[in-house]
Amino acid sequence: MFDATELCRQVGIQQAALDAWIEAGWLRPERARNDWRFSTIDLVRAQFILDLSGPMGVNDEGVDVILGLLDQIHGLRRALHGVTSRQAGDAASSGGTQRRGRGGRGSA
Amino acid sequence: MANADPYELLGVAKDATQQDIQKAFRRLAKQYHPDLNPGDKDAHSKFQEISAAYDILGDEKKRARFDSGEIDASGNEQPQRRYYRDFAQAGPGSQRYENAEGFADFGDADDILSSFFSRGGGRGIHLRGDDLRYRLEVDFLDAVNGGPQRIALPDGSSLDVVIPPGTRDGQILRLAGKGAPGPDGGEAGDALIEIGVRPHPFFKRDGADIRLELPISLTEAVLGAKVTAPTPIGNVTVTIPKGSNTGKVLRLKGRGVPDRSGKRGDQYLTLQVALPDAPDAELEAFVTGWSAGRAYNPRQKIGV
Repeated sequence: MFDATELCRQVGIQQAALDAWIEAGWLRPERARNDWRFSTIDLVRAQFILDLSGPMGVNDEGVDVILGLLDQIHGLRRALHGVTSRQAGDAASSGGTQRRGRGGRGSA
Repeated sequence: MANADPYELLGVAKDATQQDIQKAFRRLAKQYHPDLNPGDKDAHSKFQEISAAYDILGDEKKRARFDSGEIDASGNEQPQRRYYRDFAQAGPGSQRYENAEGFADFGDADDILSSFFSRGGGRGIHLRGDDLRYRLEVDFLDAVNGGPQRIALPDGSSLDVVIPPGTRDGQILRLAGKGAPGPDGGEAGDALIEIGVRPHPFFKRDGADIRLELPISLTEAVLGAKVTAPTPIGNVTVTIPKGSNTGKVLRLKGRGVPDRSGKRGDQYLTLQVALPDAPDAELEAFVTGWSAGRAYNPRQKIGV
């Protein structure tokens, strides 16, 4: 956890840019009493926003669209991981039953 | 990899304009930025390469120095960095960003998907709430003896905490599960409470021991006496031996600060002989005629 000054220093941006990004909803840090509290995820997200708006030349509207889609992609990816790992879990447990079955026949 | 020709990496000719170079970089960055390609494991190293190349060629001065052989592509490796994608689905705080709109219209499947969504992906990742930090100032004796305390939280609620006996200044107490609630039904974080101990007007703490300056009267010092002395757990009667001087230390065993097992340190009383606050004619008359008092030089010990 760190404050706004530390985030600006680590990313290499001005406080005004940070304020604008939070205003735009691109960054949604937690609130502390009179300041924001940033986690590593906010830091790496800020670096990504800087990549987009700096060297990659994406304008504000573009950043807005990209972040909106990206957040949906990560939501989907997580849900999909859930589905695939459940299938993998089902397969693993049925495999275990089969092994026990074979072991039973072998000893008989 | 950083030694590869930056022109080659960006796919531009040696005489490309700055604008061409920028265009090439942007095209490749769109293709390879890890955060735009969350599933592409190689994207990371490719993006590092083109970033390093663009760092040289994108800057006209650096490019000129590179062209003249003054600098080469080595030593220009970008520092290892972490990307958003590595935190987006599992890191603490990720729930603040990702959303379920991407499958909001899935009907029956939506239930299955949302259940994974809300339970942290079903990969055993149950997002834990953040730890919250507080500071609590307690009185000296409350820290030594322990007891219940209440912290008023900024949101108007409060948090009850039991201070263990013997708590030190700066000690951090952890209340499991009393931090921020876990997002999407995950486990709550902990409350971390830093204890500040206010100094006491006359008790001083020295590890497990308590030190106290105990004033005694001239009469008690000369003739000895039984006097009352305060300890953190109430007053006790102390026997002052006959002829006790200022600076004499008496030990009260087991009257100090308890440790975790409840075993207490000791309390040390340093005696201070105190004359009456107001001048006393009788005392003056006595010491005027007290020849041994005049003959004794207490400063001999310090060489004068």
